[in-house]
Parts: sequence; structure tokens; C-alpha cells
Amino acid sequence: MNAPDRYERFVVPEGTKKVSYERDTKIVNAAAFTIEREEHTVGNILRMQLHRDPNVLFAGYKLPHPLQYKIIVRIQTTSQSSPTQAYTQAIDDLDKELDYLKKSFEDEKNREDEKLRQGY
Amino acid sequence: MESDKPPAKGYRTDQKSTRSSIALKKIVHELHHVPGLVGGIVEKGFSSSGNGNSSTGIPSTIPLPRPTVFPFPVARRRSHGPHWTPLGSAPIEAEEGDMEEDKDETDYDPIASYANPIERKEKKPLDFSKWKEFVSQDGISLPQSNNVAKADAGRKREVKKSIVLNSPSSTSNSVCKPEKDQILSSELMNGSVSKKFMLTTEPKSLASKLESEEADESGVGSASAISSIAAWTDKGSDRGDIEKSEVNCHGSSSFMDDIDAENLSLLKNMSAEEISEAQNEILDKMNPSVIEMLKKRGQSKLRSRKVIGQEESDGRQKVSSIKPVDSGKSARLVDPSGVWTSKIESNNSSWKSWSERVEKVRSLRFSLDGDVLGADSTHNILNGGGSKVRPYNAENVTERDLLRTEGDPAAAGYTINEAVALTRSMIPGQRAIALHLIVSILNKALCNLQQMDNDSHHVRGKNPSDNLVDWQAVWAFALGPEPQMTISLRIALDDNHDSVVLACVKAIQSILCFDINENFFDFSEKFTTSKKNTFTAPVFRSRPDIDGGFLHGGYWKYNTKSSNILPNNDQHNEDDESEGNHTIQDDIFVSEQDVAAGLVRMGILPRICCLLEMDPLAVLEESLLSIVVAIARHSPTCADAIWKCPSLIQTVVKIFTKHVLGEPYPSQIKVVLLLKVLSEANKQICWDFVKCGLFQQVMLNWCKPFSSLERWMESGRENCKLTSALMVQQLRLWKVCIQYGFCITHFTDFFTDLCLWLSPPMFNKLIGNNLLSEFTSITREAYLVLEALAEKLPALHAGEQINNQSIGFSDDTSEAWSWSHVGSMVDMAVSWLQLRDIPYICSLTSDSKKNVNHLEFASISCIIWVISAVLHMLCGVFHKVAPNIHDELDHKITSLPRLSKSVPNVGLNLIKNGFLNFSGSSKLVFEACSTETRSLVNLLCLLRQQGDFDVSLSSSSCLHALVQLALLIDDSVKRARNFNDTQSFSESMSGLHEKILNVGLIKSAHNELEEVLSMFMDVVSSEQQILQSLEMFDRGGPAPGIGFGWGSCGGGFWSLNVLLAQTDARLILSLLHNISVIFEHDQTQIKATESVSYQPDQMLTLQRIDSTLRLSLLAGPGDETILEKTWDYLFQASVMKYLGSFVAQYLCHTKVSSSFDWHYGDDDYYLFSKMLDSHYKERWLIAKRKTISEMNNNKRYKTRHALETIQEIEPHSGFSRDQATNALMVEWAHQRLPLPMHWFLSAICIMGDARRISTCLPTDLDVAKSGLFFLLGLEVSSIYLCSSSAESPISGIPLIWKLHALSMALSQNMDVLMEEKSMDIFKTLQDIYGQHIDEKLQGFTNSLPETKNTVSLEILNFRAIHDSYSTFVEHVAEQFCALSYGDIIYGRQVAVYLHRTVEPTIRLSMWNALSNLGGLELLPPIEMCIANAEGYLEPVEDREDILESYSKSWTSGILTKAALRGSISFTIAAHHLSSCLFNTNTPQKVAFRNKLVKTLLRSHLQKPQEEAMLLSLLRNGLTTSEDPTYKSEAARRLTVLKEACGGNYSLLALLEKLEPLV
Repeated sequence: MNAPDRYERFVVPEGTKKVSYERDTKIVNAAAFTIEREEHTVGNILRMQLHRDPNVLFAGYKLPHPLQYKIIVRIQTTSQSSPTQAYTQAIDDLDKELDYLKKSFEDEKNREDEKLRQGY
Repeated sequence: MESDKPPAKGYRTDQKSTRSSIALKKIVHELHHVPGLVGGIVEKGFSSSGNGNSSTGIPSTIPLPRPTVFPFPVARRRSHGPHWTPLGSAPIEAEEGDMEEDKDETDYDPIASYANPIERKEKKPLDFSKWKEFVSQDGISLPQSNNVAKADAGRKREVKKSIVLNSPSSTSNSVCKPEKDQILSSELMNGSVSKKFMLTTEPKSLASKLESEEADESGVGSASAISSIAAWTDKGSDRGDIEKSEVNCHGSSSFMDDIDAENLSLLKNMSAEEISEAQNEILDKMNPSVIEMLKKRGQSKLRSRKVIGQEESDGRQKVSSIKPVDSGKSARLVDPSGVWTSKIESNNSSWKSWSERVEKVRSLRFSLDGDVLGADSTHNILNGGGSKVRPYNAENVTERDLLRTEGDPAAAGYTINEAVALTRSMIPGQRAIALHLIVSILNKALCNLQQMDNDSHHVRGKNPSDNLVDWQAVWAFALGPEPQMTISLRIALDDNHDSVVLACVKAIQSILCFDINENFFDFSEKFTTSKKNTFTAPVFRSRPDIDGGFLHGGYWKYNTKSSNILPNNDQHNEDDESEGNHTIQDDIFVSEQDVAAGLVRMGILPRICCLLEMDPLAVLEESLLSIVVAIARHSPTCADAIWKCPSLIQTVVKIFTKHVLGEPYPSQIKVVLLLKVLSEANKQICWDFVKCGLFQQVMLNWCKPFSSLERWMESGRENCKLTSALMVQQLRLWKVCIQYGFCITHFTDFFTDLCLWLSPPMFNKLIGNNLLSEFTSITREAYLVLEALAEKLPALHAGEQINNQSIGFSDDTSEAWSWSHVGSMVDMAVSWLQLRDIPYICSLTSDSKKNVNHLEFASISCIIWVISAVLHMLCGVFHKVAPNIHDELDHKITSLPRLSKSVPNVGLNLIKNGFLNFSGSSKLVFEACSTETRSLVNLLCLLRQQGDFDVSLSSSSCLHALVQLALLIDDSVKRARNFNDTQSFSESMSGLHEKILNVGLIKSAHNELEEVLSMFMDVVSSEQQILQSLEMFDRGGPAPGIGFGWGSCGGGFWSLNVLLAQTDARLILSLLHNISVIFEHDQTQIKATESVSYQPDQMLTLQRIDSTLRLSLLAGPGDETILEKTWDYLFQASVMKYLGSFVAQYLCHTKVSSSFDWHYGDDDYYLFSKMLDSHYKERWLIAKRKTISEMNNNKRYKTRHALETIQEIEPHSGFSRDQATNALMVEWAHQRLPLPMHWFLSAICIMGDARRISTCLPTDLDVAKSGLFFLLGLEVSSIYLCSSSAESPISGIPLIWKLHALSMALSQNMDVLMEEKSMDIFKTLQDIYGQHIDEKLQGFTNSLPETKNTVSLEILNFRAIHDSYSTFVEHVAEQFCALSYGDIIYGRQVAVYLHRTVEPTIRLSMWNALSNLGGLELLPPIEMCIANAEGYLEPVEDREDILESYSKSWTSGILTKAALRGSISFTIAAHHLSSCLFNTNTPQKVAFRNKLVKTLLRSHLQKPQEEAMLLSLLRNGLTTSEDPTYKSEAARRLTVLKEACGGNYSLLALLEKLEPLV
């Protein structure tokens, strides 16, 4: 009845940024990124990637409420890095990794296709 | 069922299939009469199973008995009901059957052995091959057919077993245990082989039986299973506790059973010497190491079985494992919805021990007067297990008793079940005798329960061996687990023999505990009108859930849904179809939950009405009325049912009017009582009574009063007693009406008659005629009525202050009827204040040396009750004289325009007559109060400490009234002084007594009152535990009695103990109102400086805070206002400040956190007090109300099956739930009181309340902070107090609750830790609890080694909070990993769940959750954690699943970072893993060790960079390399590793590489 419209889950409303950044005032090199209209899919993969980063001291994400379509990623890094740096680094790495995955998948697919074609 | 007998006989000789059908039918019949004897009649699955069989060969000409589907009211007499074949398990029936049937039975015997197994073959023909007969298993020719089984109870069991043995379904069992080993090992463990055999085999067969029942879903299977269980437990119950563990072994196969049975039969034939010989022989043959191994195996098996029993969580298995133990509840198995299984989840140790106790009652035998037959007569029989088990044969067939269903017929006396069975005998005399027996058992049980209660609650539970009979369990057993009692009583009520009906009515009266409850209510009526009566229906708490922070103390619910009590109501509204859905099964279900509800459901009310109309005997009439009263007190629904029951009320009133003109008649008293109770229950009913003139009719004989007291006394003692009792009831009825606001105008009619009783009489004559108590009870009630009237007075000065016309305003202008009489009322009351004229009191007060004579107790209490009532009445009046008393709290002292003369008059009377002792006051010297006399207060305190309940209650109540009155007088005087010219006012008060009045009564008597306060605080501290044991049982607990005996030990809430405790609590409260919570001396100290070291006298304040906490625990339902007041005192800003100063001192002293800057301002304290006060009131005191939407939902989901949903549906949602206006009775249901011990943790837990997360109010944070502060304050104060009182309400709370509350505060967000101050508090609390853990651990390690085994190491048994606590733990871990930034305090809180004293499941789930979320590295180092490091490391972990999970985290690289950071997780993992690797000796573990080594090393092969971790694992626990032993130890460890590698080259290479580094 009064459930929110479905598109609200993935359409970022006008006037809001996809990602917002807020520094933590109490802890050095710590910040929270709010990513709008995302959920566990992105949150978990991002966190896991961040955990790989040796400079990251803490990385965690939280879905504050099932009906609030956003996640909050908290990052704390060593002084060698900064949260933003770690964040972008993680995103870049993920991008690359996914590209690689995609590429190898396509390669494999092509090879299979090739095989099939040769078979006939 | 005569008709189906001949065909059955005809087919009998035919073919096998028909024989089987007969056998089956026999079973079916038997089912009707096995312990759940009515359950059989309605078994819903039954007819379907009948159909199923008919398809497999039963000729359709045989009509199987069709169960009726009507609700209960149609009671069948056996003489005209449908008959079916007589059965052994219901011998009464058998006896009743004709000769032909008996012949049948004997005919069956020869072919019996063929008939038996085929019944099973029908079900699963596949397994027929497995069938074997063990007919002659013990050499005695054993009749095997079910026919015989039904013929005698003793044999039944054996037959059942053979059924089980043959049961094909047992192949469905998964595990096939090597039984021989087990048997042998158990044999080795203890010598009593045969016994052991019994133990191992029987439960197994039962378990398989149960499973088979599951397999075939017909009612037949289940019911027969039940019967077999019942038969088994009957014998098993006396065998002791060991078997309990055995019960769980359900893995068995029919093959193993065969071997088992063979062995068993062999063993049976051997003597003890033979057995031991054989044992030795076996032992000699065997290798000693094998024997050792077997022994161990046997032991571990036993242990694992216990573990299974505790942890098994899947419903069905649980049933099978527990059922046999308390098969009392086995009848519940019949219930398809599995309600019972869900009940067992609260299956903790207390429940288990309790059900054991109850189960023991099954074998108790009672003599006809209700005594348990002595141990000598029963024990011989019970202990001779062999003789008991033996079936009937030629020698002992004469012992067969057709009236006994189970157990040993030769034994003397009857068990409860036998008595119940006997009530269905064919001979009226036997029925009556059986009912009398039940009555006497019930009465004995009640009486002893009360005795236990009265003795002292300290004694209770200390040594159960002292009183040989566990009456509590007897009571629980009689009412609880099996519904036969209720059903049989209901049936007996329909009897056509008067003697039976009378006996039955008596039994029902006892089962409803009418007399004891009435006694309780009688006492509570003696208090003031403010104390409301309570409905007696049994209730249970709603389950705690995560939303409420798992805090216990949820809303109470009725055991029985109110819609289930009166199913007919719904039916009228709904279509007729639904009628068919109500069966006796439902009735049974209801009466299992609640005896009274079950009776009402089964239509007891129309029957009573019918009996009453028949003009019964006086005794019967009275008892019937008593039953109606008991039912009216049950619940609003039942009261409503009585009101709606056609012509019941009319009949009752007719009984009253019938006797109006003659002598007073005992039944009349009950009639008035009934009307009163009904009126109390519902305002509407009361209004109807008044409207239709019933009230006038009942009060009629006020019109024929006694002209003088002499006339009354002349009428004879008996008559006086009756009139007095009747008048008391009438006055109470009137009082109820007045409280509703009806019938106030009758005052003028009655007052003149009342006057006779209101003034002090000539005591000598009364005492001479021994009528003092009769007279005083009327007087007391009359004054209580006047008090009720006074509350309806308009405020005296209400109009005055507006009009400001003080002169010429007389009392009797506006409300002529009321205030005009107040003068004379007060005058008469004052005449009671002349203590010197009152006997007993006068003699006791005049001489302070005189001791209280025990003989005078009864008379003294009568008089004190009157004085108490008088004082209360005066309170009521003065309350109206000075109505603005509440303004005082707002510091707005309104002044009184004019002091009514009566106020100082009463005050002076109080002073003159020495009610209070003013000698302690320093300002004035009073010669009037000489030291020889003792004040009334002093006397009352003395009397309170005497053992007698009546005296204690009366004196406590009187003191309460006195304190309140003094307070009111002081207040009025003070306000009058404010208004008038102070000078002139003081002048008018020139005398000595007047001076006291001027100073203030309370102030003058301050010293004495403080003494009173400290005395009562001591008293209460010993009383606080009473209400805590109420929640012993969940819904459907074993004792759904009503009122006394419900739930708790020894009568619980319905005992006078509670009443007394609550009265004391009230008194303390009113004293605290006068004497501030904080000791004055302390207050100045707080102001002076905050760093003063504490002095012993400061403890006084702490004690007061402490006792206020205790008071809160005493409040029962209906005490919301009292609790509110208590909390008003407790959460004053000044108290907060005081606690704050204490915390500051503590911090200074301990230097725990020197950096911690403790400074809170007054504003903070004010905020704390406000927040806490409002939070606690909202959390605990708001009654449950349904919103409109919820009610709509309910309607929508309302199904025809009334029993399906657990949710409470209010059928009478029509009238408002508001108790204040609608009824004078208080319901247990829909409210939360009494509070759980840990109620004040709710403020902290509010942060984790999942429901609030979406609407998280900013105040929640404040509340949580305040809660943390308050908790710290209490903790600190308990540290200081602990020396003085061991059982402080703070330290009494289990540690798990406190730690849980802290976790709860962090479970949604970590806002609490955002602010520095609250973070510091949080940390300090953690430190304190860490110390507690260490202390407990210390205590554990210091304990004797033999107790160590019994006492579990699991100090932090978090599962006690909730069964699914591990889910909560995972949630906390998740939050920690998502939000914390690795906050240390948060980390400490998380790490505490890894403490070695936490139970393994919780530890494991915490570790796994952290491991999965990558949170292990975030935990702080071990030395920063809560409690000492050793607690996390020792003793070494031995559970393989946990070690595996450690190694998994290790190999997956999660611990790498943790190792770098030195986190506790790495320390723990390294320590436990290395201990496992290098210190494993036992051969069983070697395999596991080797596996572990390989996994670890293999992972390090792939990650060479983590060499350091491996090294630290190797070096763990070793000191520096300089140590001489280091080299050898390291070398040893390396060799251990090498051995474990199993020759794997790559791994060995890795170790080679490591060698130089080590």
C-alpha cells in the first residue's frame, strides 16, 4: 500500500550525490562514505577489497535500514594513505578485476564458440 | 457398543487378516482408556485410521465407534452411553461389561500370540520379514495378544514391548549402534546388570515407538505410544535418575533389539551370582586394553546422551527424548499442532528437575484419608523392580485388580491416577469413595503447601528430604499434566447419586482452592479500599524477544485464551458448521491449561444452576455457591459467563430470599459474596444489580437490626457468628457499590443502624460472651465502608478558595447528605482513639516491660484491625478536608483558609493517647510521655515481629494508616498556619500537646519513625525474593491451578507472605515520603566536597536506596501507582547526585581510571532523573492495550479453530480495558508486574531495541546514558554495601544480564560511546564486571576438585537469556565490523564473548561471525580486554569444532593482520592450537591433531611470508630462548610436528627450513 516505489531502490534522487563523504572528527584518517541506492552487493565486495589493502585499518559497511536504500562504508587507514585514497584505490582495483573477469570470460566463451564452429 | 461385539467374535476364528483387524480394534479400544482416557474418544485421526483399515480388509459391517463431536456438555452415563468392549486398561469398564465379553477374553488367549504382530504388518508390510516373536522371552508363558494386554495392566507393557520389537518402522532409524559394546561397557560400569538392561532397552523401544508413531500418522499410533510410555514411566519413575540420561538413546534397529531382548531374557533368568560369574568370565577373556576402551566408550556415550538431551533442538526428537521422563504431559502428544513441543524449549535444568519431581508423584500411593502411605509399604514393592514388572501368571493372577489401571495392584492405597479411574466405577459407592479420596489428597496437598509457606519461605527448598512427601509436586501432578482429573470431575458432577455429586462438588471446590483463596481475599479486604483484588486465573509471561532486548518480564497472558473458555459465544455469531469443529479434544486442551477454564468450558455452570434449582441439601448448596464464587474470581470472562448464564443469578438470589425471614443461613453469606465478586469484576454487572433491585433485596435484613447490642448477644453465639459474617459480606457488597458511585444515598437509611456498631462497645460483655471478633469484624467493615464513602465526598474547601468566604461556611451546605454526617462519623472514630479504654492494647501500652502474650493474639489483632480501619477512615476524611496535598511535590504550598475543628482534635487525641513517642525529639521535653509507657507505634512494631500473620498484617496496616494520618494532620495544620496569622495561630496552641501539634507530629516523632523505618527495611530485605519465583513455569506449566498454588513455590503470590510483604512495602513508602531518602547528614556532605572519604553512617542512605529497589520488586499487579511513587523517590535528582558523589569517591579510591574526569553538573543529574523516571514508567507500567488496527487484524485472522493461534483474542473487546472505571479487580494479564530482577537494565537496552531503530528518538540516547550512569551508581554502591547485606538486589542479578545489557546498548549503533563521559562510564562498568568474572573464576578454581566436575565452568551462560542468543551475538559482531573503527571499548565488549567461561556455542558463533566479517583483527590485545588474560586461555580448549574453526581462520589468512596487531584473537587461536598440537596425549585426539598439523603446515607452504606466525605458534607458551628447557621443548615440538606430517615431503621440507629459526 504505502510501500515505496520500486524504482526508488536504484534511481538516485535528483539533487543527491551518489557518494558522499564525511570525515570522522574523532579518529585520524577515518571517514564514512554514504553510497546512495546501493546495498549488500556493492557493500560487501567493496569491504572485502578494502580488507586486502594493507593500509586499511578498518573497513566496514552497514545497511542502516532495509527501507533506506543506501549503505554507509566506514574506512580508517594508516597515515600512509587516506580514506578517500583507499576508497578510490579499491574501486579501481575492483574495476580492473571485474574487467579481467569479464575479459577472461569472454575469451573463454569465444574459445568455446570456436570449438563449436570447428566441430561442425 | 454391544452391536459390534458379535461380528467381532464371528470373525475371530477366521483368517489372519480378520484377526489382525480385531487386534487392531482392541488397540483402538484400549486407546480410549489409556491414561488420556478421554483423549481416545475424540482422537480426530481415529476415524480416518479406521477407514484406512477398512480398505485393507476390515469388513465394513463392523462399525468402529464413532467419536462424538459435540462439545462436552453432553455427559454420558455408561448406562446409556455407547458401549464398547471392556478393556484392561480401564478396568471399570471391563467390570461393567457383561459375562459374554469376559468369556471372549479368555477365548483369545490361546491364539493371542498370533494376533499381536499383525497389527503392525498392516502398516508396513515391507518389514514383515524382520518380525520375530519373543513370546517366551523369560521362560514364563506369556500371553501375547492385545486382548490380554487390555485385560491387565501389568502385562500390557510387555506386550507393548514386543510390539515395539516387531515394529517394522524401527528400521527407519538411522543410527545402528553396536549394542553389545554398549551393554558390555555399561555392565562394566556398574554391577547391576539387569537393571541396566532394563534401562537401556526400554527407552530405546519407546523412542522407536515414538518414531513409528510419527511414521504412521494415525491417531492409533500416537495414542498407543503414549500408553506404552505411560506404562513405562509408571515403573520407571521410581527407579531413580540415571535412566533419564538413557531415555535419549533413540538410535536402534529391530535387529539390535532382538539381540537385546535375547540377552535380556537370558539375564532375567540368571541370579546375581551367575551374572557376576559370567561377567568375570567375559572380562578374563578380553584384552584389558579393550576393556578400558569400552569403559571409556560407555561413559562417553552416557555423557553424549546427556548432551544430546540438552541440546537437541528439533522438536520431534525432543519430544521423544523428554516425553518418557515426564510422560505426565504425554497426552499432549495427541495435539497435532505440537504446542507442547514448543513449550519444552524452555527446557532448562530447573524445568527438568521439576518435571522429575512431579513425575515421582505418579507412583505415590495415598490412603483414603489422603496421607501418603509410608515408605515401608511402598518401597518394598517399588524397589523390587523384578516383581513389579512381572506379568500375571497362574500364581499371581489373584492380585489382578480390575479397579487398578497401572502399577502394582497388590499395593495398598491408590495412586492419583487410580483414584481418578475409580471415579468412573459402576458402583456409586466406589465413585463417592474415589472422589472423597481425591478431596482428601487435594486438601492435604493444599494444607501442606500452606504449611510450607507459613513456616517460613527461607526454609523452602532447603532440604526436601525433611518432609518426605513433596506436596508441591503432588498438587502440580493432580492438576497439571493430565486432564483426566478435570474431566472425571466434570463427569461425576452429572451423576444421579447425591453422595457422588456432593463428593464431586467438594473435590471441585478443593481443586479450585476456594477456601485458601477466600482466606487470602478476606485478608486483602481488611485493608483499605485502595487495595484491589486480583483475578486468579493462571497466566504466563510472553516470551522475551530481541525487540525488548531479551529482557524478561513481558506482558502476562492468560493460560487459556478467553475465547476458548466460552466457545459457544462465537458459535452463535458464526455459521453452524463451526460447531462441528469443537470436540472434547479441545476441552481437554483447555482444561490442561487451566482447570477452572476447562470446567467452565465443559458447561459446569448450567449444571450447577440445574443442581441449585433442585433445592439441594444445605451443604451441597453452599459448596455449589462456593464453586461459582471461585469461578467468578477466575477471570473477567468467567465472571461474564456467570452473569450471562441463563437463570443462574435468579436462582442464586432466590436462595437468598428464601431464607430472608428466618435465621441467617450459611448459603446467604455465599450468595452475597458471589454478588460482591461479580460486582467487583465488572461495573456493568454491579449497575445491573442495583437497577433491578437485587441490591435492595440482598441488603434487606439491615432493616431488621438489633435494637441494642444486648439483644444481639442474646440471640446466641452461633447466630451472632452467622449474622456477623453475613453483615460483613453485605457491607462489603455495599462498599463495592459505593466505590463505583452507586447506592451512596442509602447512607441515610443505613447509618442509624450502623451507629450501633461504630462506637466502642462494652468490651467486658463482648469478651465474656466470646463475641469480640464477631463484633469487631462488623465494626471494621463499617469503618471501611465509611472510608469508601469519605472518598466520594466532595473536597471540603474546593468551593471556598474561589469564593473566599471563610466565615459562616459550615460543613453542611452544599452536599447535605455527606458532610452533615461526617461530624458524627469522626466523633465516633475519635472515641476509638482512646486507647486507655480499649482492652489488651491498654494493658500492653501502659507497661513497656510487659511481653506480648501469645494467647491474646487473636483478640489483639481484631482490635488493631478496627483501629487501622478507623485511622484509614480518618485519613479518607482529612484527605478531603485538605485535598491539595499533591501540590506539595511542586513546591507550591497552598494554604488552608480555616482549620476544621476535627483535625486538631484528632491530632491532639493521637498525642494524648500515646500513639507516637515524642521523647526523642530534642526541642521539647515531654513529661506526658513517661518512659514506663510504650507508644502504640512501638507496640505495633513489636507485634509485627511476632510470627502470627494476622497480627503482623494488622499492625503493619495500622502503622501505615497512622503514618499517613499524621502526615495529613501535619499538612493541614501547616497550611492553616500559613493562611492565618501565624502569631494568633500559635497562641491558640499553647498547651504542651498543642505545641507538638504545632511543630508537627512527624517531626516530633522523627526518631521513632526512623527506627520503624530501619526495622521494616530489614524485614523487607528478607522478603524481596517472594515474587521472583513466580515465573518458574511457562505456559502449560505443570500446575495450572487457580489462585493459591499457581505457578510458584508454596502458593506464591496467593500466600499471605506476599500480602504481608506488600503491606510492609507500603508502610516503608509512606515513611520514605516523610523522611527523605537521603540522610540529612549525607546531604550536607555532598555539598561540602566531593572527595571526602566515605563514612559508615553514609551507608544509611545507600541502604535506603537499596531497599527502595527491593520495594520495586515487591509490587504486584495493580500496584502501578505505588511503584510510580517509589520511583519518584528513587529517581530524584538529589539521589542521582548522591550516587554520583559515590562514584566519584570510588574512582578516586581505586584509581582504576585516573584519566577519567568525573564531573557532572546539577543539570546533568536533573536530566538523568527525569529520563530514567519517564523511561521506567513507560517501559514497565503501561498496560497493554490493543490498537484499533490490531483488533481489526485479529478479526481478519480469526479462524474457526479456536485453538490454533497463540495470539490473544479478546472477545469482550467491546468494553474498555480501563480498569480504573470498569472494575475493582485487577487482572494479571496485559500488564508486566511484578518486575524482573534486572528491570533497571531496560534503560540501557533501549538502544538496541530494533523496533525503535526507524523512529530512533534523540531521547533514547539520553535514556541509555542515564541508565549507564544509574547502573554504575548502583554497582558502586553495592560494592560498598556488600559487607552489610549479601543479597543486594544489584549484586543478585546474574552477570550475564549486565554484560548483555552493555552489548545491547551497542547492538544497533555506537552512539553511547560517542560522548566521552558515557564512554568512561561504559569502560568502568566493563572493568567492574571483569573483576566479577575473575572473582567467580577464582572461586571456581579454588573449589574442591570433586565439585568441579559437577559445577560447570560456564559462568557466563548466555543461553539462559534466550535460546537464540547466538543470533544476537552474530548481530553484535556484524555491527562491530561495520561501524566501530575498531573502537577499543566496543572491542572489549565483543571479545568478552570469547572468554573461556562463555558456553561453547556462543563462543563459536562469535568467532565464526568475526572471522567471516574480517573483524578478528579489530579486537584489542588480550591485556586490554575485560577480565584477566588467563580467563581467555585456560583451561585449554578441547572442543574440536572450536579448534577447527580456529585453524580455519588461521589458514584462510584472516589472522595474519590480527597477528600483526597483536589482537586477542591471534593470542587465543595460537594458544589453543599450540596446546592442542603439542600437549595431546590421548589416542583419540591424535588423529585430529595430525589433521590439524597438516592443514596448518600446508597453508604455510603457500604463504611463506607468514613464517612468523608459524614460529609464534611453535614458541607459544615458552619463555625466552635463554631458558634451559627451551631447546629441548622446541625440539620436542618439532618432532611432534614431523611425526604428524605423515611423511609428506613438502611439509617436512617446510619444517626443515623452520628448524634453525627455532
